[in-house]
Amino acid sequence: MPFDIVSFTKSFPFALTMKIALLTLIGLYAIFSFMLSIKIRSFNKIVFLPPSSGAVFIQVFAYIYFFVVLSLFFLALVIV
Amino acid sequence: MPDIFSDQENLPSNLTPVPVIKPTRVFHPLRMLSTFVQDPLGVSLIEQAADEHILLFIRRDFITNVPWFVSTFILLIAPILLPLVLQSVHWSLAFIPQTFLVIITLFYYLIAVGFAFANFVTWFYGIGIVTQRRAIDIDLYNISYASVATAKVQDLKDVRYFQRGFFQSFFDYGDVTMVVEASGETLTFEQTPRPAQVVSLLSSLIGGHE
Repeated sequence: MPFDIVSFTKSFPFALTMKIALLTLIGLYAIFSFMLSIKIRSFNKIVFLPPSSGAVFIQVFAYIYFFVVLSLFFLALVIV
Repeated sequence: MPDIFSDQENLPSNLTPVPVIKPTRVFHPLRMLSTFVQDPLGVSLIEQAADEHILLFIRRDFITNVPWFVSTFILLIAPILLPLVLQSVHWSLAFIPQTFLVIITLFYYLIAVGFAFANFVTWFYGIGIVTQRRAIDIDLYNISYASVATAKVQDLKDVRYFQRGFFQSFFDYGDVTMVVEASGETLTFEQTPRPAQVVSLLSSLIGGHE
């Protein structure tokens, strides 16, 4: 008997399972991106690089990136 | 008979002695993609002494970033090719609700951008610094592991560099290793550009301390 993906997805709460899996993944990724921004901040304290080096831009980008991931988490929580 | 030596005090009053000009250090600006900067302008370290000057600032050679550039490019174009692949194997993503697909696509592109950003940060903060007193090696591996190693110049011995393979020789980059005398541990500036110049500087510093 060929595998029918549509009937398989209807055999259990597919949407709920997928939502939980997706939220878990995005949540873990948000932690990773937060860690990244913390790491950058700590490195900027060890070595002070001038503004021309782009260190400030990288720090700001890391924060923006974290907030975008966090926004995606809440977006997934609300709309999915 | 010509004078071989005459005291400057005996010079005529209209001639003044030429002042000795000390060579001044020329600072070089540090840019975002700089990999080798002698006397970098505006760089300072935590717990840097007032009379300690940064002589050399190095990062991995820029060419070492090519593998993750290629990986990022493949990651970015993969979703464009995905429908064609699925079509060829007679598969469809129609069973996934549209809202899920939007979130999954956004999340995928965030991961792709994050992958590139994490690699860039790993390169950006993988720094080697040489001052007239110490050598500092800052490494960041996969964001989760960071190491900061410092060694005093007078404790360094056996400074050497390795260029392995065609690419390292062609693009003139390689590993500079130095053994710390007290602990026997090795400090390594990995894949640094112009390694011969780095070794030359370190050797002259070590020679100056001996």
